[in-house]
Amino acid sequence: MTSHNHPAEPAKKRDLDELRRDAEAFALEQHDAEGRALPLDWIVHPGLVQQLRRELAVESFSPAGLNHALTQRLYVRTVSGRVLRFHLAEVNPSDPGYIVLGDGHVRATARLHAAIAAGYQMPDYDSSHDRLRTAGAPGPATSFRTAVTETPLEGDPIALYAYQDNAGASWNKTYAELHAKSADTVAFGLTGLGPLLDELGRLKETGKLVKVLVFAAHGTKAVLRIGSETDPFRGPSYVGLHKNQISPEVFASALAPYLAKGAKVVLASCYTAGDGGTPQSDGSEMIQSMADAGPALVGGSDGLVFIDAGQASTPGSWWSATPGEGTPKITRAAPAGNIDPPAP
Amino acid sequence: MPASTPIAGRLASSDWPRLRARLRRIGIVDRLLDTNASIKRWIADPTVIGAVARALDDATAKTTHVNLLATAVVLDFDGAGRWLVRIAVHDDRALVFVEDGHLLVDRAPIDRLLS
Repeated sequence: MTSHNHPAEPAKKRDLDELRRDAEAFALEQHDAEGRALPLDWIVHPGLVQQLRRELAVESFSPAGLNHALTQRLYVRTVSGRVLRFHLAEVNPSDPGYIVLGDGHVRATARLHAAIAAGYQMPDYDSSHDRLRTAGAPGPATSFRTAVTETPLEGDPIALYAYQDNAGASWNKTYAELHAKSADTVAFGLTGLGPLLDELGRLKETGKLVKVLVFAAHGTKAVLRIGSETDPFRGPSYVGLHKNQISPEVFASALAPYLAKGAKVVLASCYTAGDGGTPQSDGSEMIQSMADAGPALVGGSDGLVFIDAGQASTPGSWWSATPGEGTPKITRAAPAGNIDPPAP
Repeated sequence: MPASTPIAGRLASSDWPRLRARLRRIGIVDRLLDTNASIKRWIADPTVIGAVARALDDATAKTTHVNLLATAVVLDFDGAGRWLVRIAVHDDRALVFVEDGHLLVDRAPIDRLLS
């Protein structure tokens, strides 16, 4: 790895406040097989950039230098066009490591790694891993490269049934396709946040906004699977409160630009609103955070969710979270039964 | 790094009576790949295997599918390959997810298997 041809200033401690306030995009330096730096692939999605901004923790600053070999450059661009760079350095696989600045370092966090991994559609991010340094790594979704600056208010309302698309959950595809019989309902195989945003972007370009968004996928208390069955549990193939998962706030803010006014998100997944007794398994926190970060009302069950051909049902209670209301409410007590939403 | 083991497919409830006598060991999956898995540990203790087999014998089969995250497990049958099921503990029972639905089984042997 020799060539670093991207013009940028090395970030220093004094720059962190500006980056936390004004960052509008970030990009990892990637290389081809010969070690040449590839053009930067800027991630501009507001939700992911917001997550990056939050994780630039000036409070943990130390003036000590770090001579770590396994680092990767990360560039951050501000609204004024200034481009700053620092290095991400991991110490071991269980520790997110450090952000190395020109005059010291701060701690990196799992949520910073999750934002990077989600941006580049990786199951996980590890700065000591070589997969992003060579050509052939999966590129970011088109919708990540395209800034979404406005929340649309008008468009044809549709329903989107996003189903877990693998052999271990084939019934969800059947369920989604049985609902997608009319022109205003779409079935979509869910393999990750990037492909989902691509599909939502494609629909938006044709004047369609999602009024009803159903996730038919595996879940558990405060966790929703959005990626492959083979991806690691604590990676961005899941939305949840665990380390490295996509946070509900980031997930909802990523979806927000594609939702119609009065949209509803239905989590047809087991226990997403259930309480597992730990901060990472608090389903109320999960669905309320989603509602607060986006414009949609979010519903989930505190029990199992059964899929029987064209119908989803639960023996648990059905909880609904309304943006800004603080806590979800039971809108149908157990057994709630059929949870299929009405057509838009 | 655990060794990778090939998987023949996902077990259907109708496969169990035919294969039951050949069950030799059960692997707890560490990482699931497309047609194989790395196994965190194999359980070959005959008392554990026997208890799980009896629980599956007595299972109530349901054709309904459930969207619950679960632990992937490989059943290793003597001369009949290795087949994937997924297992989750739920209240006082355990759910064994198979290709054609799920099986409700006694929880105790499953707790012992997954412990």
